[in-house]
Amino acid sequence: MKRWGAWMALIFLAGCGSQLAVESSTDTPDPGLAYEGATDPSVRFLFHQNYFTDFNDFIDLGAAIPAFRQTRYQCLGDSVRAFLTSGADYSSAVPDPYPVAIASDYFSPSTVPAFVRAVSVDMTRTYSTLSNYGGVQTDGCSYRNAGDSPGPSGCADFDTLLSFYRVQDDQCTGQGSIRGVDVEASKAYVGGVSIDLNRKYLGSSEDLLLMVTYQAFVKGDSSGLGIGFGALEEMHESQLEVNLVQTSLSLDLLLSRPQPRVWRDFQNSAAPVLVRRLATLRDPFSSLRTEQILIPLSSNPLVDRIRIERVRGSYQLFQIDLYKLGNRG
Amino acid sequence: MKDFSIPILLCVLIPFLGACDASMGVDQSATAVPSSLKAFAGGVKAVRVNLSNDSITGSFHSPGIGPVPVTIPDGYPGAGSGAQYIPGVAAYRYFDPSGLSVTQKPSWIQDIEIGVPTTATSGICAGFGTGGTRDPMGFYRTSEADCLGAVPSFPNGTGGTQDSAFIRIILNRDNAYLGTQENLLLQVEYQATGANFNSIDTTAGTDPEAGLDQLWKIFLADNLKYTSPRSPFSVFVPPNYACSSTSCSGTSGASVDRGSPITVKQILVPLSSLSSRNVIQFSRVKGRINSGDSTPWISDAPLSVGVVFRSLTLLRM
Repeated sequence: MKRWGAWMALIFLAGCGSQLAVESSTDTPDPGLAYEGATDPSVRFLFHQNYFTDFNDFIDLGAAIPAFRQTRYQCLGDSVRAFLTSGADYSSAVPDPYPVAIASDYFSPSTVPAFVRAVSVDMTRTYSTLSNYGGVQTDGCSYRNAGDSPGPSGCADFDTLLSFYRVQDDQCTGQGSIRGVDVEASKAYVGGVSIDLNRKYLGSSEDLLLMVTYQAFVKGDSSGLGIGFGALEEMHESQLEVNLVQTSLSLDLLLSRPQPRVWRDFQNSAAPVLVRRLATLRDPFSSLRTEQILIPLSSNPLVDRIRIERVRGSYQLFQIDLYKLGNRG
Repeated sequence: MKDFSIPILLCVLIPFLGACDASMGVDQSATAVPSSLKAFAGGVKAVRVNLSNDSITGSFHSPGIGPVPVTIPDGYPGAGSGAQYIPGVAAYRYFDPSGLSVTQKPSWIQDIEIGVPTTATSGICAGFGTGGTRDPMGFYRTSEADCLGAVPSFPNGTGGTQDSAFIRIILNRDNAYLGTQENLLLQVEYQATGANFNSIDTTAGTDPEAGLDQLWKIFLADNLKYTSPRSPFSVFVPPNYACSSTSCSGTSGASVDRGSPITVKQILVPLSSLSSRNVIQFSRVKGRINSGDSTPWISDAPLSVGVVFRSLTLLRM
């Protein structure tokens, strides 16, 4: 923020308004690189409730001035705030975000480097059946009225204690992407993260470094878990896997798809997995940790999504950083 | 675009200090690299330091006196009002990646320093191992029982110049030595042992780090060794690769003595995205004593609760 480029870009873009915001931009016309941070080679996402749309943003309890973080598609689980990698990390109460379109509006989405289009998490608490939440506006982005779809669940949501994204396996029965009577199978493949890329702003010989800071929960690990985490002790060791996918979806479609989004994407021939199990994330030590995964984008120009899939188990996600690794052609 | 501003400002204000040589901003987006900048530089591609004070195989001397804070020279970032920084003990001997053959310090490294805040040979938080059962001889290590029991208390780290327990890599980002499209792979050989495998302490409010026995992070910073701005890059410890408390080992004694297996971790530092970064610093951020843990809080026992560093290899990629 304390840079010439930042101020010059702000002056230059004074009339652009919300065109710069992630949720309001579209793939066409090309937004170009004419906004602050567009050419930044790295970005940080903090998976905290404050920086994603979640269920609480849509509950109208009659507040005079609703302070909701929403996209125009009324969907849950979308990132609305991106951060500088040169700023603070997940542990800080005051990380350094990219600018919002209207500086005084904290709840407006912030800008994001041009090589990232959207980041979202699967959400399973998508609507409420309670009458006093009648004002919930998320029906258009949920499966409330879709036949035999399972009802809302706390399986994949922002937790109430640390406020970071958490998947709690024992809440996931019937919430997964595999339908059937097998309880364990019915929990699988929900609770993941999608990072949608704009390959136009990545060099043909450019790869990415993905850094994931998370904590897995392991069956039998009771050390320090304390109140509220007891149920996690009965779960299996968690396992995540990283896949590279081709979605070919526009930003509008990405942001308007109902939650949990993995239901539509899982084994969908229209969104093929081009690199399967690029890496797995497993942690028998069940501790906070950062993992690095090299994303070999240069090997396939069609990859436009990094998908972190939850295969099983419980975990909490704190932070994901992306770094370009140089155009090495 | 944005990375130009600070270096350019420094060029204007303090040209005589040569602060601009290594940190001229380079747009690292997908655009072409100007022909005047080297994408890849020549020279030695890999080097290693053994994080030990062994007179034959080590890369460091034990300091003769404790560290003396040094006033930051005028004109450098952070200078003024008597501001000081604490220098580390600098490596004097470099090896090839095998760790066996002594070699010259390459031009792309200015210094590799470690934090040794006192010259005491025993009972210190950060220093060289004394050769006890749980304290491998000569290796740079932290013993959490001595950090947390220190009087005055051992300070928490921030990744900055005032930290006491750290490994600090200071690069020379001159384009003649490190190309604009080069990255750096760090290969760290170490042991990390906790009283617990570490978990979120849900009784400690909303801090996800509150329940950690020990926390090390990697920080990145600009502008030589005096820098004050720094940013966290990655969590380094945890994970702890062994748990010494009987609450998780189920037995007493053996696991307390054995500690973590020697582990090698690779860390890719995307220098090509970080054109102005020339300091990579591993810092001990904090630790904790949990009165509910059994057994492991023993002096001079990094294999009970602490970290033992053995070697650091840097490879240009």
